[in-house]
Amino acid sequence: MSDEPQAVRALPVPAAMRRVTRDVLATLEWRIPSWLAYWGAVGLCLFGWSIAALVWAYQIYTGLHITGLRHPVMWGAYITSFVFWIGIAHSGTLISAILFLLRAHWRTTLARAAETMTIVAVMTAGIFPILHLGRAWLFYWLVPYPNERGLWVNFASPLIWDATAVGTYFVVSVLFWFLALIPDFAVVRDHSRGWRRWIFERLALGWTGTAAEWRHFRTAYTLLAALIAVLVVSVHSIVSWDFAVAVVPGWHSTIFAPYFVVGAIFSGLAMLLTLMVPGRFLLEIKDYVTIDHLENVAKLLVAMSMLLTYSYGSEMFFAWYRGDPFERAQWMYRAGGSYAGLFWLTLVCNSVAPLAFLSRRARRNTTALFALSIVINVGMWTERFVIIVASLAHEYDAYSWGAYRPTAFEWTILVGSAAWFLFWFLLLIGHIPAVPMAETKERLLETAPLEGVPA
Amino acid sequence: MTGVMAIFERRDDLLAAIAETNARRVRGATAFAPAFDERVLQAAGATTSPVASWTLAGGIAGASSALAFTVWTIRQWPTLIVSGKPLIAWPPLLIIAFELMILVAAAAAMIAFLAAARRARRGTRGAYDPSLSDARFGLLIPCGPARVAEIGEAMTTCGAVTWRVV
Repeated sequence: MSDEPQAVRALPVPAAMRRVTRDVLATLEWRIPSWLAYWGAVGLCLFGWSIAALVWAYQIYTGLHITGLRHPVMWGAYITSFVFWIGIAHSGTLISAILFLLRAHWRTTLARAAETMTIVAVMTAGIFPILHLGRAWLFYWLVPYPNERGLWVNFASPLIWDATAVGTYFVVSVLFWFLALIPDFAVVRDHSRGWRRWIFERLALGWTGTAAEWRHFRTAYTLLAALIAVLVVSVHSIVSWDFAVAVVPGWHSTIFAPYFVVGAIFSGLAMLLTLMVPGRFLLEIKDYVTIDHLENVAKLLVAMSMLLTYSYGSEMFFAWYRGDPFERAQWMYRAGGSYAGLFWLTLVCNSVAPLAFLSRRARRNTTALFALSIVINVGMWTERFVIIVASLAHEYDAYSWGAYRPTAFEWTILVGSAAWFLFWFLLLIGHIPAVPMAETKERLLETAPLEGVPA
Repeated sequence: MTGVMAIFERRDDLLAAIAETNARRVRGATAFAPAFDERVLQAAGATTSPVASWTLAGGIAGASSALAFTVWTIRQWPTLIVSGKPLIAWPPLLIIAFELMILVAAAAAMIAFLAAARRARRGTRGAYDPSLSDARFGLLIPCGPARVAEIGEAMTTCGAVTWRVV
């Protein structure tokens, strides 16, 4: 597959670069019917998360008893959704940072959408621990400051690790996203007038594209990519340690960190397909985000699915092999207890369904890509639900067993969180260059031969 | 500053123009490009950046200050021993230190980039052309009024589509 976008493959370099500018800037000039579809979708999402916000207000007014959370299951749909959305954030980093460091040039045109998805997913994930607090206004207790007794937060607590890791991930992701946008903001500044020029002039921070600026830019971008690549592994490892450091059957396992990281990348890639299969038509960038790009994502999904299946297998094998009766009982409960349906659904969605992408026809069929990406996202949510809820529902002593079922309020907030995610994603991607122009042009220059230049 | 700002359609012409300015012993020329290109950067002498050093310094500062801060907060209550566990347990503190290392290193990288890029633009005021962010290349050559015509002619010979005095 050629790395250059389909739209510019046959053009000489200067014309190709102009075409990239023209095409990407065109995505900022919304035309009917795209304009109607775009603002219709934004409005629908606004309505969706407004309903969820009302439910949250009701929860604050009446208390957490409107949820299904009861002893022994005190972590339910909210914590499941927190882990799910943090996971979604991870493929943005994979596409942008890790594939950049590996010089996988096909990631270029997908990078902007993936990075935007990362930021919005972390924004969505961050809401859930606050929702779960009940008294949401006390969230600042996680900030390290001394209380009236001079007692500080407990840095040995996984919840403080979580707050530190997720906060760091959000800040560094925003920096990485914004840094890559600076040269593109300069292009928009130079090709617009009025209020748009005024805004983008400020966002471009005076960028002029001198050789020294590009050197500093590339050094900073590469370093941030390297930092964020290790950060992404640490963040989901730390999220997994929320569970793994607790002595709960089904949680207390050393495999959790890599298992969660693989699952996170898997779900994030699926979400990228969910967004970009329709998004490339809505944003009119189908000549840049081609079926070849989507096929590559599908190939990555198959690889991640197999790694995840291996993790499931290892977890099951060691539950049996280590001889711990509580661990074995937990696995028997998962496979045949109250949550057996979700357990088997998880395996079908995450281990069986993605195998369809072994077929080239499925990988190049946008309907199959979209449908399977939804299936995988459902599977990844149920996976986290089973891990969290089934383990708490069936701990050591039979007298403390119990079951949990999310209430309609929790389902509304879950659906509302998806609306919140889509709302911000659409709003951001619709107002910034949806395809990285500078990087696409860099690729054109890189592949162009030199002609008679003195050494 | 007086100088000539030449605009090129093709990268190869810019590289030829940079070689020409070097041959004429003109110092302090600034090249402009619409995208990162290693050949242009090498030819223009933009080979080093202070961003890496600042990032390293930020990382060290972040990790060490996080360790110092967490240990200091724990030592505020030196008798608060839970379940016989050591008061200062390094594994959890290393997690905090790692995250703060990344955070401060990333912030340092960004700040260093912004400062260095601002410095790199100094002296180019009034020379910038909006077509440079689209698809064209530029070369700003500082020279006295007496050499403007000569340099301008040389740039045209190298393939400049236009040039102007700045």
